[in-house]
Amino acid sequence: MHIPDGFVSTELSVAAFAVSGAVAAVALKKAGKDLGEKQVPLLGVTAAFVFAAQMINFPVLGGTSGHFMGAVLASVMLGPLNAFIVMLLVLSIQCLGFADGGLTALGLNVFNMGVVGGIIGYYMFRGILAVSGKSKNGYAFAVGAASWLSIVLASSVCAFEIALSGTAPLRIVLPSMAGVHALIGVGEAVITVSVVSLVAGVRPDMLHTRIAEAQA
Amino acid sequence: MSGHPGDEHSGHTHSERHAAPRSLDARAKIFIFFSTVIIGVSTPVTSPRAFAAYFSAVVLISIALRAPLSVFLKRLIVVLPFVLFIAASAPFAAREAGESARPFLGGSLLVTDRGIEAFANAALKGALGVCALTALSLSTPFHEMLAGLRWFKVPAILVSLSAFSYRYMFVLVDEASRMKRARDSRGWRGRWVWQSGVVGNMIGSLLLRSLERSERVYSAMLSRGYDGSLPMAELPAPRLTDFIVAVVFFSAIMSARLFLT
Amino acid sequence: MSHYSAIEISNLDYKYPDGTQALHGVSLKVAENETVGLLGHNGAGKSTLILHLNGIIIGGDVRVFGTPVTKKSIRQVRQRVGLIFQNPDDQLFCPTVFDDVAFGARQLGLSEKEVIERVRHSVSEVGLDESILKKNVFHLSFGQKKLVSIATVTAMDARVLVFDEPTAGLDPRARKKIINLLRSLGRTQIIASHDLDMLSQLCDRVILLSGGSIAAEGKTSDILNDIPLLERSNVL
Repeated sequence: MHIPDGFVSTELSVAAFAVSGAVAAVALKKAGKDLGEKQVPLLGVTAAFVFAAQMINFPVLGGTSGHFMGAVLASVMLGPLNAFIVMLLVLSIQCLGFADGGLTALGLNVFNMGVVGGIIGYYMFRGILAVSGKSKNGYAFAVGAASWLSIVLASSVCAFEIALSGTAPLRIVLPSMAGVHALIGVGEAVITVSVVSLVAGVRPDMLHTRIAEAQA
Repeated sequence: MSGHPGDEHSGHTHSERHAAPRSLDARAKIFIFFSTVIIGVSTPVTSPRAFAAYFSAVVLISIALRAPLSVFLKRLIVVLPFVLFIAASAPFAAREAGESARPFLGGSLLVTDRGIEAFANAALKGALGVCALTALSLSTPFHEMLAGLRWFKVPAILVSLSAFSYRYMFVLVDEASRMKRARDSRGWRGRWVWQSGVVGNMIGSLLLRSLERSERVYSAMLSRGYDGSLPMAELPAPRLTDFIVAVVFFSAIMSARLFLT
Repeated sequence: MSHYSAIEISNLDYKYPDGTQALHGVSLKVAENETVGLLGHNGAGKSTLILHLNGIIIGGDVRVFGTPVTKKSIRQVRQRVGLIFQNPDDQLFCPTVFDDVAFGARQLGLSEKEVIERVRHSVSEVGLDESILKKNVFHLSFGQKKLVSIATVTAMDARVLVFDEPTAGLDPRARKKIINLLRSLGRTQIIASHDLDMLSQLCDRVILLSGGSIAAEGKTSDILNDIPLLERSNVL
């Protein structure tokens, strides 16, 4: 899902840099104000974790594999804006350190995985949670469903961007991207649910969303 | 989603070991490679000579900067197929009224000129981006790149956070691959997506270890007087050669853009 | 020499946020330039106690050279007491060795010239070559990382060095090197460890912790040779 250079139009790239940059400004300002010094190691190590977790492949169909994105996991753990910062860090380092994802497409990649995957993913989680109820199963369902949706939505947005730029026709790129990612999303959901239940059992204090509920 | 190959390690190691002791200033390298990508992306695909010039310039400066060729090629082999694969869907764009199409693969598929152009556009620019960023990352230790970006007014908090992530990335990647090895040594053969729970447990324990590590690191930082600011190393003052190389390279790329299109 | 003890703790209690009692009525004194071993089974409270020594955990009556450890005195306390954590990957968080050794010294607000001088001095004091300063921390051996961890603290000119398991995970040769280094470093040292042989080589005195309280305290040879005591305290 990392868009390379040259796949999207200049207008779209510039617009995405503007949107992602504005969200980054808000998120970084808030992170600095809220928890200050403690944020640096927490966000930095979480970004390193997401990078490492993305290296562990999971099986998809008959031996083919996909890999983890981690945006909803990060937002359930740290809240939406911090999750955005984590994805921003991961994508910037992948781009500059490993040539993974284009430089001119960095704004778009951050938009797709940070804004759509992390922030919108978080609010989808909250929305589903309101319906599914806050029982253990309801919580797990909301985490899983939001993870699946975040992958399918982010990949569809990615397909629209490529099609809108005239690089590939929507009727090919949308079904293929969304189709493949509907499967990969299942893996994302299974993994995110098992990770979150593990953390909820051992270190519930580490879950942003649990803490928020305890206070509410 | 593209993969992050396990051999990323070697790239990291090489950028440390091979970077010439008095290599080009990081700011100059950032300027050179960023402008190549941006100018490249803005070039119409109908000017192959300009692209030939860009690619030659990137290859020449990579050799001059002693970016290790073997790692360079390995990175390209990992990232390029993905770029080409996506680009390959372009020629099958919908035909607009009156547009000519030619048969492809014995007439079973039709491709349009516009589609071929879209393919060439994405493939060329995607490849140029990968080459330039690979050359940059292989010739510049990451902390120097960050210090350079700081000079270009990237916010300090973002630079500190990136330095921090990069430091622990390799520790955690190591931990992840040890876990993977331990899993596989016990004969795990997951083939289907509903078996991903195993991977979930691995990622879960990696996360718990990471979070606990972040707490210990935080304690270690506090115990040495950390109060929220991370001092960044500063780059040595640029030399005249750095200016000259940056200006000459930029002029070469810019003239290719202006006169070869 | 000041007439205060380097470290003085009286009747310290500590509960983890989850309610587990980690320390119970701990009182101890460490004189300046003394080397004291801190012995105890896993979970006896050694690490928690150590975290009190330079105010990572604040609470109870803990004094450093007579100054109570409080939020106000924290800067001063952290300059005087240096903690060397067990896993050097937790301690070393900067991109290069130089930045890491310089970190604490820079936090003290020293001039860059002084910082460089201190970094050079500390690195050579722990027996490393200056060429290591440019290296990326990730590329060091475990033993080198341990030595760099010590340099990060001596660069702050700490007068009390607190080690958490300094020999854990080292090969015999690296272990010997660390033991010799600790012997030559001087200053006041507090060494938490299960490595009985090392404690017997280095310490004037040993404090034995068990279940969050002090089970015994005395001359190193007396404690380490009292096998029934060590068995009772779940060390052996």
